[in-house]
Amino acid sequence: MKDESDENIVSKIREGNKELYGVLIERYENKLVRYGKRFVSDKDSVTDIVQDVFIKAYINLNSFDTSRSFSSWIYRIAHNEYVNLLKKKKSSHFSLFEFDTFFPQFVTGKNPYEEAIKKEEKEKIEKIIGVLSPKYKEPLLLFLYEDKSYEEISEILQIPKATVGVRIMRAKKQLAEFLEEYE
Amino acid sequence: MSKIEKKYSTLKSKVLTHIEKEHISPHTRLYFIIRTFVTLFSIIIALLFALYTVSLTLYALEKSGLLLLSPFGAYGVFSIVNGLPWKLVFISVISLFGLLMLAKNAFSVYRLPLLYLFLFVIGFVGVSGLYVAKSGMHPFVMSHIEKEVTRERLRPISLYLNPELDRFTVGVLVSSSTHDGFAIVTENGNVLEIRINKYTKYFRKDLIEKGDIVLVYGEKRDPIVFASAIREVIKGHGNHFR
Repeated sequence: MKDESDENIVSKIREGNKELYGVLIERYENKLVRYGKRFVSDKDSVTDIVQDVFIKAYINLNSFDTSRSFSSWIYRIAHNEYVNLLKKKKSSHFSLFEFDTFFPQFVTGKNPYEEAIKKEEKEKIEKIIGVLSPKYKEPLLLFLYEDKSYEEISEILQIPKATVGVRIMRAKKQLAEFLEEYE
Repeated sequence: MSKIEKKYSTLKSKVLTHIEKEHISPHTRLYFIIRTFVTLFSIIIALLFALYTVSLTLYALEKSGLLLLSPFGAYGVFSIVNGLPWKLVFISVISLFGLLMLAKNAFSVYRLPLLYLFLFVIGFVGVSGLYVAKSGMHPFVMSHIEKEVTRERLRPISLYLNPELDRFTVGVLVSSSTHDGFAIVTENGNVLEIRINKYTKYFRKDLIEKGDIVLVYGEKRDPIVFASAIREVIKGHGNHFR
């Protein structure tokens, strides 16, 4: 079962092996809790939210397209839940339309510079990432700490791939400006 | 087992216990098929509604003579802004917005730039709306409504549509005024009675005087013209006809 892909496990659960859902939980609980703790300021609610995420995913398991990535799908559900929490707490502002999803600049794919500096930046960024708005914080978190590609982030956040690139770039720029100001 | 590991395994058991205890089972495929069907049906209804309102707006614009008779300059712009069927425009915008929201949520097209989706939907509804406006569907619907309901009940609709009017433009000479309009003499010497009502557009009664040449847009039922829109063309130019 260890080498079995998430998608195959989902197929087996659909066929009736419901106990296999525990394997998926084991694979993702750690990642989703970690992601949530970095994304939302309310750390106490994260485990409850992750619990809801798994229950929702289970209920909607038949809507999942096994030809796509289960990881992106469950992260998408988690994203929705975390955003709902932030909206409920009114701690962040969310627009109905984001301008950069209308006219994304044509920035796509990972660039080598980002790859190279990733490890060095990680620790530093984690300490100050809270200054970013969720709009910029989330793609950067997914990219740096969850090792998601632009394609996967685009799937999770349901924004154009080019917008993912733009947001990550702007997030880094904002963090650099913040560091410049306070260091 | 570390504290965190213990916490995570608790989370797993919590989820599985909850699923078992509450007898939670995944929604069936049929559920998702029905949900997709309902969503698509809503989109089709929203599309048809948007198409109808947009085409009705375009039809009303054409029928009102707004674009045809608007004078040049600032007054012309004011006339167009003032004469636009704002309620219809508002309903059209709302219906288009609703359609866009449904399409955005249903197809996850949000991953593409929204601009593409918006341009596609607006372009499709605009072009199709223009086609429907020209197709004669609205006059047919209006004539059907006219048979079914009294004219008074029809008023709110006819305010925007003037369905009884056919395109009719004529250059005329004002000869004398009456309480609900004025009379004109055409170039051929025919006397026509121009009827105005509160829905007649751009009629500036104070400015139109005996001897002016005016342009009338409306339905001609000899010797009466039910005016939809009027504007003066040449001030006092027709005095020598008197």
